[in-house]
Formats: sequence, C-alpha cells, structure tokens
Amino acid sequence: MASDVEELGKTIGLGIRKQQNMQQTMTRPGTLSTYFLMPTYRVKIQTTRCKMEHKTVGTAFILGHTDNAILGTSKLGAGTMGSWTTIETLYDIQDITNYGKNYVRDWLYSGTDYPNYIIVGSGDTAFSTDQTNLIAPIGITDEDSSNNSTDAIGSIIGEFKSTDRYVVDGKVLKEVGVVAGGRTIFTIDTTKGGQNVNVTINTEA
Amino acid sequence: MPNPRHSHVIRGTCYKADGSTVLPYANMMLVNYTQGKMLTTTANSSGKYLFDCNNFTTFTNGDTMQLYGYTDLISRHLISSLTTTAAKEYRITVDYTFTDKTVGNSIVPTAGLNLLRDWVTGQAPTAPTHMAWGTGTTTPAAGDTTLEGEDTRNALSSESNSSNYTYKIVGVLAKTDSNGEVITKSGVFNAAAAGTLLGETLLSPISKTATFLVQEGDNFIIL
Repeated sequence: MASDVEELGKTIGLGIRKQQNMQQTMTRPGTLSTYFLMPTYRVKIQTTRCKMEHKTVGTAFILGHTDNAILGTSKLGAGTMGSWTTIETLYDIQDITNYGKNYVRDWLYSGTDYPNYIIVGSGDTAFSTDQTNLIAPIGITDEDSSNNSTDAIGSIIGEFKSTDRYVVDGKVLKEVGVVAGGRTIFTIDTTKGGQNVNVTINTEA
Repeated sequence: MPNPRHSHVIRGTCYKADGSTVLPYANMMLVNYTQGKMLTTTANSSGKYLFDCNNFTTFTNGDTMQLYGYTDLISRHLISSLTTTAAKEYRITVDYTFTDKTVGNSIVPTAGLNLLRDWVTGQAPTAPTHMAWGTGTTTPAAGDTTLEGEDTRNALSSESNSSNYTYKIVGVLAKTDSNGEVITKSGVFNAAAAGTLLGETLLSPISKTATFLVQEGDNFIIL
C-alpha cells in the first residue's frame, strides 16, 4: 500500500511538471511566423535575522553630547568607548512587506534607490505584510554599512549615535524597520524663533 | 523669563519623491538639521501636522529645521522592549535572504540572487538589459553564470512593472538570428556581453529557421 501511494504521488508530480513545462512554450494558432516562450521566475525575499547591539560611550569626548562634550570631564583620544555587545539576536524568518516586493520589482524595472534607512519605534503590533510604516516611529538613521559577503544574503546596518538624543535618551524601542529614503519637504530658518517653537503644517484643501 | 513661543506655519501638501503621491502624516519627522536630531510630533488634527519643538535643549535659535519624509517600508521586526540611554550607542543589523522558488525547467541561479543582494546592500548593480538564447542541453543549475552554448543575445524589446510583485520583460530572437541552430536555452543578463545571469531556462528544442521569430516573455515574481 505504501509503495502504491508513493507511485501515485510520483505520477501526480510528474504530471504537474509536464503541465508547467507545456505552459512555458506555445505556438499561437494561425501565427506560424512567431514562436512564443513564457518562462516564469520566482524569488522569495525574507528577513532572517535582526540583531541589536549597544556600546557605552564611557569617557570618550563626544562633541555635541550633553554629558561627554565637556572638556576636562571627558577624554580626547584616551577616552574609553566600549565595544559592541549584543543585546539580542532575532532569527525570526519573515516575508518582506507587499510594498517591499513591489519596491524590488521597481528596481528591476527602473532602478530605484536601495532601502538604506533603519527606523525604530515603540509600536508592538504584530507584523503583517500589508504594513507600510512602523506603528509608532521614533527615529531614523542612514545606513552606516552593509555586508554582501555571503551568497544570497545581504545585511543592512545602521547606528544611532549618542548624540541622536531623541532616540537614545530614555526612549522605549519595540520595533525596527528598514525603509527606502525619504526626501526633505521643506527647510525653514528659525532665526527669529524663540526657544520654544511650534511648527504647524496645514494641508491644502 | 522664557522667550515667547513662535510659530511657523507652512501651508501646502507634502509629496513623495515621485511628485504625485501625497505623503501621509505618519511618514514624516521633523529634524533639527543643524544638530542632527529628531523632534517630537503630536497627533494630526484636521489636516494640520503639528511638531512641538519644546525641548529647548535640542533646539537653538537659528537652527535649520527640516521636515523629512520616509517611505517604502521594506521590513519590520518586533524586538524585546529596549529602553535607550544617552550613555550608549546602538547598532541594528537586518539580514535579507534571497531564495530561488522557480519551478519547472527554469532557475534563478545564485548569481541572479546575488544581483538582488547587491542592490539591497547598495552596491548599485545593473538591472536586466538583455536576453540570450543558446544550444546547451544541461539542466540549469544554481552555480551557472553563463548560458551554455550561447548563440544570440539581444537587448530587451520591452519591460513593464504593471502587475503586483511582477517584473515582465520581452525579448525577441529575430527571423535573422540563430538560423540553422537548435535552440534549447534562454537566459536573462544585465549586459550586452558577459554580465550577470539573472534567469535561465531549458527549452524544448526549437529548430530555428528564417521563417519565424521567437518572442519570449519572462515574468519575474517577487514572493
């Protein structure tokens, strides 16, 4: 019985492959001057690792840092910046978003920019492929480096510096994303502004 | 005495880079460009996007502000709750894996997967440009980098991205090409000569003559 089931399975599989091969070629009736071919290629893209790391700024002098930018209290050159330590490594295998699939398609078609920004936020809603944004974005950083040394695996790496105060100063992160580049919408000069500034952008009707 | 509040009101609609798609509020951040810092945002209200820069330690008179739009979420991951601190810096690494899921007598070889990998990692590879046909008869394999028995290579005659997740290309083996040959392979490349093999198919034999042309329409589906 087991061998009969196996033979049935092989027969069905062979039939499916033959049908797929037949679908790749076709001669349109009455059009003897054109031979049509229609191969289909499929590539699955998934994220397979998300790694979070941190390092202490120690006694390093960091220009712009509220605590480590004071000469005499921090050390130029001899400052002790810590080394990268892993916080956690997630090996969840996830599909990319539907938006991401079309983004890859668009690169094949017209050469879009590669996704070169890491974005972090505080949302904790489960991932789904129809999402187009983080749930509660907090900060964004340019890609600092990448890795393409392994066949069919590429890494995008971004860093949030200690001077990125809005992200690194007491924020609770629960989500990480990779996005393609945005654009500067406008630039304003706050020369005449006070220390407290409200910027309001009204959409046109 | 603290300085009085000052408001800048910008009227207009924010667009994505394509110039036609309106950028939603959720895709915008206000940045203190001078100091390289993100600033707070508040809830959208009646079409107004309010960014309250009341943390004066991140803002100084004369700083240049930018409204920055980000688009195109490629992937998203939940992490264990992480409370950040200014005493540390943070590094995030995201890996993307590319797998061939083609069935039948076609394959996206490793070289083709690496082409996509190189694009994701910013190496700026060239997208597909040509289609080739050959006389080889071995089964396509992941390690293939050339088209076995390649005889003719022509520039793509058309491309489109109108379907979801699908890139479509058309190549033509003209009536004057490869006559007298038995065509058994086709491939997609990103150069007029040499280049990277993105896709390869083993065909049922086609005895090519000058009485017909071969029109090949390939679909690349991103899963």
